Amino acid sequence: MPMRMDRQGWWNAVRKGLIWGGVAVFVAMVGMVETFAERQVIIGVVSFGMTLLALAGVAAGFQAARGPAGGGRVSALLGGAVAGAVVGAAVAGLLLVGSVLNLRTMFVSASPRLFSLLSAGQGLHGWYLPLLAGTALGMIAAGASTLAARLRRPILTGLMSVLTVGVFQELLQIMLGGEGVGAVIRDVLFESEGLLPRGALILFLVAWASSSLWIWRRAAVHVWVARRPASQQRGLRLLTLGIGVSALLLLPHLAGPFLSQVLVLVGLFALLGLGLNIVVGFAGLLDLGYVAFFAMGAYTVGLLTSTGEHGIFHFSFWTAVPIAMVVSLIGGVLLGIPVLRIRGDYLAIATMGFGEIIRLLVLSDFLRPWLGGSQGILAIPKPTIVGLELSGPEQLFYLTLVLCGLVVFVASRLRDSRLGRAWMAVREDEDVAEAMGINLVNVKLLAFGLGASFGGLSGAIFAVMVGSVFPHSFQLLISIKVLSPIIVGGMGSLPGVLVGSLALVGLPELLREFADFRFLVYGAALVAMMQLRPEGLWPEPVRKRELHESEQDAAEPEKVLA
Amino acid sequence: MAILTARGTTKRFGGLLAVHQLDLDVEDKSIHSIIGPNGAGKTTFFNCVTGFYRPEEGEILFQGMPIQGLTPDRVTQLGIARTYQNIRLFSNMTALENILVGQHPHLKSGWPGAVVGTPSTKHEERAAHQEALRLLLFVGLRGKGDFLAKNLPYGDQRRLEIARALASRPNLLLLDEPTAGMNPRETIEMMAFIRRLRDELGITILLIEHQMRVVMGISECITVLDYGEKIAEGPPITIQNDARVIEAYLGRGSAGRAPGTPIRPGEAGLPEDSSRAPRTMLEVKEVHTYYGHIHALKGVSLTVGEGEIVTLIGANGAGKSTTLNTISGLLRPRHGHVRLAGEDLGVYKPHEIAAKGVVMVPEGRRIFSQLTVMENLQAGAYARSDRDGFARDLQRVFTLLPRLAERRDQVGGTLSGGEQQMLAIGRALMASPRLLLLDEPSMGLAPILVEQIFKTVEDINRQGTTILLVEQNATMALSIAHRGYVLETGTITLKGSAVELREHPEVKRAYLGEGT
Ligand SMILES: Nc1ncnc2c1ncn2[C@@H]1O[C@H](COP(=O)(O)OP(=O)(O)OP(=O)(O)O)[C@@H](O)[C@H]1O
Ligand SMILES: [Mg+2]
Repeated sequence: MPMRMDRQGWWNAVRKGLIWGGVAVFVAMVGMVETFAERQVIIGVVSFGMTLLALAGVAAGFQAARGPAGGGRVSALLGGAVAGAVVGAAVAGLLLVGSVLNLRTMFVSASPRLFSLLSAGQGLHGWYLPLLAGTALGMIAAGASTLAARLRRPILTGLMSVLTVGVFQELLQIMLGGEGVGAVIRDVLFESEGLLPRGALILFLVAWASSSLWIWRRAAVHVWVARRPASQQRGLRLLTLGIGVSALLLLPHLAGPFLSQVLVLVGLFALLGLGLNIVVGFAGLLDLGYVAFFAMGAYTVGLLTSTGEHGIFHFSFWTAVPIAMVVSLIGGVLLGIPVLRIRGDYLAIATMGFGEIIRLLVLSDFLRPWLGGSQGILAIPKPTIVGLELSGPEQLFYLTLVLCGLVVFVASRLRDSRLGRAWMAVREDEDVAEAMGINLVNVKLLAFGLGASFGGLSGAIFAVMVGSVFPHSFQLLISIKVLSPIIVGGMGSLPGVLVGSLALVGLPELLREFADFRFLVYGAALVAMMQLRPEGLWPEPVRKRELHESEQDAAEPEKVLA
Repeated sequence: MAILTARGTTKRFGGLLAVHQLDLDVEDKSIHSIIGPNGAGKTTFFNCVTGFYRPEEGEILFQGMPIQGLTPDRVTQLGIARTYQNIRLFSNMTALENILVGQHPHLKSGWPGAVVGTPSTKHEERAAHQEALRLLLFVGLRGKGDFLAKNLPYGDQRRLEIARALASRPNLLLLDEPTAGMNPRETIEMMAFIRRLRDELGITILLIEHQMRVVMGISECITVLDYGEKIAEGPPITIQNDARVIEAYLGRGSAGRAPGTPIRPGEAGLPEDSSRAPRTMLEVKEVHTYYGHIHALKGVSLTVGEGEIVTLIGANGAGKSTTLNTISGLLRPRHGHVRLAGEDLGVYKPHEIAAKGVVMVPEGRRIFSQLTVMENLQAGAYARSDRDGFARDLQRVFTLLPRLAERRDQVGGTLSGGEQQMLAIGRALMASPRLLLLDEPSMGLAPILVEQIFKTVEDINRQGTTILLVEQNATMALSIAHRGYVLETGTITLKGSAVELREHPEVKRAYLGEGT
């Protein structure tokens, strides 16, 4: 019985193939395959563009094997092959149609180069190649999916390492530097423009071996740690923390200015995200005008510190920052007052309007004499700390890092406080929260205000990072770019915001070719998240608080409300 | 002395007088019940007291102070707490966090203190935490403090709601049907618990209840409402024998009947002459269902024959609703099969299963609260295309539940609890199911209506619908069912004909509330 696939199984395989085939064709038609063909994952073997196509086949095979077909390994392999073949057929179909008709009048990316890539340079005669490749990939993926996790994980880790290193080879080569051990490693793994096949093999083996080792010894390590006395355990924890912190501190040196710049940007968005997370994640108030507070912070710092024509006080950055936060806090409260009674979707629209109003005000002729209109405020000096100017991205990185740490700390304290619980209650059921004695006005305004002040803080950093502020930097899109990492990371979760910012702000910056596809990728990531992991990449864990402490009072129920 | 006094309180919704010129005195440290038919205005009165609604006329005094028109948070701070008929916990917070939110009014620390971590804040938090744990223990939820509220079984959610209300240290506690969804044994425990609240903590209790056993057992004074007006008031003994109350609320059947007596013992059943077992309609075989890591169903097997009424009884959290949700496809079993007339349902989505004629009345009135009554009924008939059948079934629903016909344009969410329950049943009937899964249909219904509903269930069964019935009111359920199963902590522990189960000592003790 398990040898044969039933109708359900076939249909499932075909359906998965069609879905991923659609994805593959789409990826090709928007030009991603061609653009990313430049970026070699392994020199002379495979480009990132082809990897994207291949991943569609792999995903189809994997899902088909995991579907309701059930049954044994053979039917899984068969299902994977079918699904992969369908993906391949979709690509082959595109190849045929594209070679016969001129699709370019409608789809600019349907270039001869694309079709040559799809057929490995064979043109129309290579039509069977995608089909073969798809079938093979689908089958391999299906085979992998039937392996025990213990065997599958290391292989996956190995492949992921090769892919990551291959894609980011340029940065890594710079990081490894031109001399010493780094240079030796670089010469073994890389050639001038990419990862060598032998490098890929070494990487794969190393990753595979360490992953296997970890899976094999994991339990033993945990047991070993658990058996240590408490003081040693604390020491171990401090040690790991120390290693983590020093790695972060060393990062800009290893990474160089470009990566540091990216990290500062990630930090900036993480700060914004942490602030918005208070409003959206904790209190459940969907605020799409958040960029307004970013602008307020930036303009306040600009006005107070600029040495140019619009600067008024020439304050130092450190004096200006708290003022910027207070200004944004007041702005947040002022926004909050009119929208107190508005809920849900309507709130999103109302706040969005607020964000636009602020931007238009800044642009207006009326305020031009003070805020500089579309010219903005220029000549914002870099902050100095004990006579040291934080000028380059490496130094600014430390600033954002410290502030991020601080804000994470404050936000986590707030979350666990009485106010934080009130916010969550409001998020869950506003009416009942009010009936629990929670003053909705206070609690909501505090959420808007505190969230806004963090927005102002990131605005302040933005102002000194760029050295100038323009209304153009405060588009509605920023609000959405801040919201997306929160959703992808997991609503209300602090580590989620950081992970989300890394994924949605950091990655696209590193893959410069992505620029054109950025919002496409945002959209796809959001849809995929909702489908696969609606709770987010790193959701807030359910806090366990009863078990540790419940035992001591267990014996005295009488004392309730004493 | 009266702790709560209402004078001429009136609340209107459009042309509807939900509460009309109500005078009420609740004595300090008493247990006072409000009863009355569904839609009589009981919950509406609670809403007027707690500041959810502002009454159009009259005044409400709490400890001599007028409170009508205050916002709910103010009312709570004065010392009134409540629970809700449709449980309204903060469902994505843990049980412990729910209680901590309840303590909000008497905690002092502000957010700057929390951020800095001042000793006074830490001390207050620790004390609050301890008190929350004690409350958890007091209501019998020890060890469940870290469960998300939404993952607790229904009865535990009710207890948690009470704990949350107690956390605000009230002087007056308003309980809206605290025993809904509880079986007789749990109900008895709840009664004892309510008494303890009054005796040990000195809290005055104002109670809305439909279970006569509870009302008559613990109240010192009962007020009966009908169409928003007071029709009787007095101690239980007077109320029990009041002709108007019997007429409007209790129903003739229950007037002299001891609780626990079947309506028509032995009458229900398949035609006696059919000696052959009926064809199997539903087969649940060795089903294991999980919530994350929690193993909720541990190999449940049961069958329902065509034309049968089969009932599934068991305590709260035993897995009854999980079983129904697994059958209807809302939950997926990790192992085992669910077959409908021999066909494996495992591959179908919930809507496809519904289209095959398996229709569920979910627990706790999950109606479409933004849609009108009529739209809810139409939604129930979504999958069918026969106009005549639709009109016929609509007629049947309206005859059976006339209140729905009266309110056909009212928005579902504003119906009273009992009216919502009627709507949930009506909606399921509109789908003209082959197999009807009923999850506690009698919950929140007035006694007179409970009898009607059970008669209806028998009627539709006679007309050819197979029924799987989950019910806390095991007496009623076993009086109409052909066969039954007892489910305990995820496994079937007993099965047999309804008559056998009724006589089984274990069942009598645990589920029929006899011989304790
Ligand atoms: N917001 C509202 N808008 C319109 N009608 C309403 C609203 N709230 C309640 N009603 C109607 O007022 C009447 C009284 O409702 P209420 O909830 O007080 O009944 P109840 O006595 O609690 O009944 P049950 O025992 O069924 O819970 C019902 O007929 C209900 O439909
Ligand atoms: Mg009610």
